[in-house]
Amino acid sequence: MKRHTSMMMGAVIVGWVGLLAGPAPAYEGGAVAGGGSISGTVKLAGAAPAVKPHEVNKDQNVCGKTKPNESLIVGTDKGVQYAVVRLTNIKKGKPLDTSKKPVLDQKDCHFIPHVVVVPAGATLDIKNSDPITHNVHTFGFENDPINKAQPTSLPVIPAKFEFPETIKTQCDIHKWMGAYIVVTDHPYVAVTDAKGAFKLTDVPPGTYKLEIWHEALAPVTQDVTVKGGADTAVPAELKAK
Amino acid sequence: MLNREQYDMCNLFLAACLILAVAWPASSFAQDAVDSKPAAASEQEIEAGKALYQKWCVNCHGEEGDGEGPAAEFVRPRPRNFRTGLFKIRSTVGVLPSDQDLFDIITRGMPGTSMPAWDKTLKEQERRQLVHYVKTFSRRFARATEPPQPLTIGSRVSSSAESIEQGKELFRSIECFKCHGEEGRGDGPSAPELTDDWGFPIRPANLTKPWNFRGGHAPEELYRRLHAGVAGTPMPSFTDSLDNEKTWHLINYVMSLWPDPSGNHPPLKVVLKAHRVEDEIPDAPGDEFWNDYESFDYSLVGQVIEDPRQFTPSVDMIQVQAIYNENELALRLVWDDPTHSRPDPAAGVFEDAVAVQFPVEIPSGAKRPFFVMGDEQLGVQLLRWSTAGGEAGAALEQNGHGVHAVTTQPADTQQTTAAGEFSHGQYRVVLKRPLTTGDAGDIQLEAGRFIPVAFFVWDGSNGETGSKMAISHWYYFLMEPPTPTTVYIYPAVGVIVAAGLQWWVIRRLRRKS
Repeated sequence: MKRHTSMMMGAVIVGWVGLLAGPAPAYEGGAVAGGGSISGTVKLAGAAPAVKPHEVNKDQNVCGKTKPNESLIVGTDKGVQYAVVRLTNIKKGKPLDTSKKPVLDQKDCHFIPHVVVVPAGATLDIKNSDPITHNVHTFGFENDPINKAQPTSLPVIPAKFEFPETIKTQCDIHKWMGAYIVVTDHPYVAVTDAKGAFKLTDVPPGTYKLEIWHEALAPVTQDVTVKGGADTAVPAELKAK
Repeated sequence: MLNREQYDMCNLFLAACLILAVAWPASSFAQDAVDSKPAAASEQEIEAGKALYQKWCVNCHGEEGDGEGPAAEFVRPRPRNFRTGLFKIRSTVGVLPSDQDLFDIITRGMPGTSMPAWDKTLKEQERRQLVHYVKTFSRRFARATEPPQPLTIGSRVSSSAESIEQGKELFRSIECFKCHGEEGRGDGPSAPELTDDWGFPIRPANLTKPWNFRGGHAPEELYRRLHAGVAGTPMPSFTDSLDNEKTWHLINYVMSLWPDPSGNHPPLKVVLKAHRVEDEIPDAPGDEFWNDYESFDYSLVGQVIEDPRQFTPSVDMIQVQAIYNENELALRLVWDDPTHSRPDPAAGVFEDAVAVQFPVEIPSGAKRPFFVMGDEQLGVQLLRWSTAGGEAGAALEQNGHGVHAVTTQPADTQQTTAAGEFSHGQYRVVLKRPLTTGDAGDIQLEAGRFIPVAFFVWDGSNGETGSKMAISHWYYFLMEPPTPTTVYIYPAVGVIVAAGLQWWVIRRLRRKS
């Protein structure tokens, strides 16, 4: 893992500079005095499509007969759950806490949570709480993809992610099992709750680009200006792709 | 309709396909060392590789290396998309393959796929130039600063009954069967839904057919697949869940599923011999009776001559046994099909079927009916078995004057009976028919004659129906003449005469002395 990390860090310097539009600027964390906040509710524009639960066609004794389909959850008042809200161009702000280990669990043939935020450099504990084998298959590009079998003898796979990226994750054995790993190099990322609500706190005053992304909807980016000690309410509507 | 010359061309083409299907996998895969340092590729070498790529590779892998060349939709599995830098066959720890891994794949090709071996077409230097160019499609290579590190293969645990038993238990406990099936034929419950990283359907390996393994079937290669996984496919890495010993147990178990320890394709036997027995032949395809008789294996390829064509058949081999007695011929047909299809034509799913083809008349010369179900002049008889009428299956006698001119015989001339079963990704069917019949549309079988025979298989879940099927070339069918009783009498007479002479000589000598 260490060698791998240094290889990837080297790659940032050598590879990204030359091959991407520009190098990813490093984020600088520190104390934020007099910050403001950004809050809002992500809503679906237009009628909510019917989303059917996944039919389970194998391992019913462990998985049950159906599984909730979390690819688009629209709550009361059209709030959209599991939208990822993030500032895309913030250079400086509160520190990124990499000490906590986020967890992505596989329980009853279901990823919990459906969207997990992982600070770059932190370790994500990928767990299997089921009495059967799953395989953890990630589709990262900036971060090397993972495809590891996770039989019951391997309850935890620690996985380190280095580069900001939203990574689709699935279990091939149980096709309905899907999740997203959101890797971030700064702390201004939120996942909307069941009502579609989010809040980013301790944002240094200034104007930022705010991106709202959802797996099933068209992403939007807008400018948001934050004033010290105040909350900026953001209207946010997502349309179908 | 095809003329004579076209027949010959078709025959030649099919023969070439069959030879390729057999010959590619037969080449053994040597173990290659991983590069000690990344090869520095000059601009000229990359440019040379680009020119070669555009000449030889672009039709499948695409101008942009995205696996979307014009021929891509006709091959299965799909050509690899190089843009994410994910390669199936790796000898390395981590995502990237070594240069040598890429070179080896170009050199040896990939058994069981449309990727041919290029060692006869391209010089070694050219193959290395191609490696350099292929690496430019993904920036994963450019941003790596260290060469890929080789995967360590621990000391081998030799195969034994105990090791195989432990491997079998692992196969169950870590759930290899979920994709590869309980008996390893690629028919597990998750198999039908599997897709590659680009969303294209992909099949798990049939572990009983090692000659189709993409990276070869040397034990060390199996070790690498288990530890490195097969990137871009659902096959995961087991490196965190299998230690060295367990890995070898699992490999020893997988190797115990092979029809031959060499892992090579069964040898082609051109003449299907029917053995004569005196007793009744059992109907049940699972009867132990069949264990005593030789099996003849025939490769199948897609029917790509008549429209609609089948470029991507899922059945690539049929095993045939033939036994006859005084009254009837029995053929046992065995083939692997990952799905027991339930016909639903609206959803593009048809019945599973098999057919044995004979000419209606035993040819006296070299002229045979066109091998794909006959032609206008020369007709064929088809003994077909299918699940059209229900899962138990039923036989049907048909006649063909071309793939689109097949008729079913009237009910009163249907004399073929059948018993079929499907278990763990394999069909076993016994067809029986009288040796001679009074029907003009039937071949009258004669012992001692070389009779052309061919085979067709349809996998309904693969959209196969009508001319979309897997086919063989013509082979020969021979009912071995019954052994004449003189074969047993002459040696007995010989022994008695010799013994008598000896007794007489000894007697004479004793008298003289």
